[in-house]
Amino acid sequence: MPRIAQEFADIPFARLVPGSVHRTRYALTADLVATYGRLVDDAGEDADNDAAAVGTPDVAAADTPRLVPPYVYCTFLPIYRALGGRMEQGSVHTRQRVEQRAQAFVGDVLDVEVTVGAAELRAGRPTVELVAEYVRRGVLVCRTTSTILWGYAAR
Amino acid sequence: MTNPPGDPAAVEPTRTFTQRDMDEFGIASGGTGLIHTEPAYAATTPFGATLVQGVYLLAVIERHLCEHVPRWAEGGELEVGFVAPVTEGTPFIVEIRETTDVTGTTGPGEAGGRSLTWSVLGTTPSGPAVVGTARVLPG
Repeated sequence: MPRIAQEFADIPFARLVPGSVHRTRYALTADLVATYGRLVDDAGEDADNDAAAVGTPDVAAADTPRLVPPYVYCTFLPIYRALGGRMEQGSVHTRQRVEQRAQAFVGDVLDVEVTVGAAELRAGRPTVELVAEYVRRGVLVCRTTSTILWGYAAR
Repeated sequence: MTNPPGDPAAVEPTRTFTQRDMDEFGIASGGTGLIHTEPAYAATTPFGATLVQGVYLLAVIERHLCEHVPRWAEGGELEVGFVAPVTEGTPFIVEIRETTDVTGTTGPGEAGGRSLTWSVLGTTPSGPAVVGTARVLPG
C-alpha cells in the first residue's frame, strides 16, 4: 500500500496517440496558490499564505483580484485529468519549456488543452512530449511542453 | 558591458527538500508518483532514493525568476533540461545570471540595449541538476 494514494492509473506508452487532444479545466483557487507559495518558499516552512510574500509579481488591493504566480503551472494534475491517467510509474522528466503569455487571477478557472505532441522511441527510450495550454477567456496564459522518458526507471 | 564571468546576478540560499515537502507538492501538482513519494520503491530504481519532482524544482526556479527578472510573470519563456536527479535531502542552489550585453546593441532577446536573457542553473553538491535559459518578451 503506497504512503500516498495514487489517484490516477498508469497510461501505457503504447496507448498514447500522438496528435491526440484532451481537455479539462484548472481552478486557480486561493488554497492552491497558498500551497504553492508555502512549498516554494526558501525555508520550506510555514510562510505567509499571501502569495505576495513568495514572489507574486504584483500585490492587489483587498477588493481587486489577486494575481496568480506563474509557478502554479508547474503541475501535472490538469494533464492527468485531461488524459484520464498518469505517466507510467518510474517515468523521468527530462526537459520542460514554459511560455508565459499573460496573467491570471485567484478564482479563475482556466480551460486546459493537452496535446500528445510525441510518443516515440528516441535512442531506444520511450519518449513522450506533452503540451498543455492554459487559457483564460480565450487568451493563452501559459503553454508548457514536457519531455518525459515514459516508465524509464521501471524498465 | 557584460557580466564578468563568475559574477552571478542572483544566487539563492540553499534549499533542501524533505520527503514531506515532496509529498505535499505531489498532492498539489499530481506528482505523487512512487519515485517521488515512496522511499522503498525508489530504493529499487537506479536512483536509489526518492527524486524531487522536476516541476517542483522548476517552481522554485520560477519563484526566483519572479523576484529577480523584471516582468517575468507578464511574459517570458523558460526552457530547462533536468540533467541530473535531485534526491530527497540533497541541497539545491539556484543561480540566475544575466547573459547578454546590457549597454550596446539591440538584437534578438534584447530591447533598447537592455538584456532580456538569463541563464538558469540549479546545482547540487554533485554538480548541475537543472540547466536552462529564461527570456523576457519585449514589452
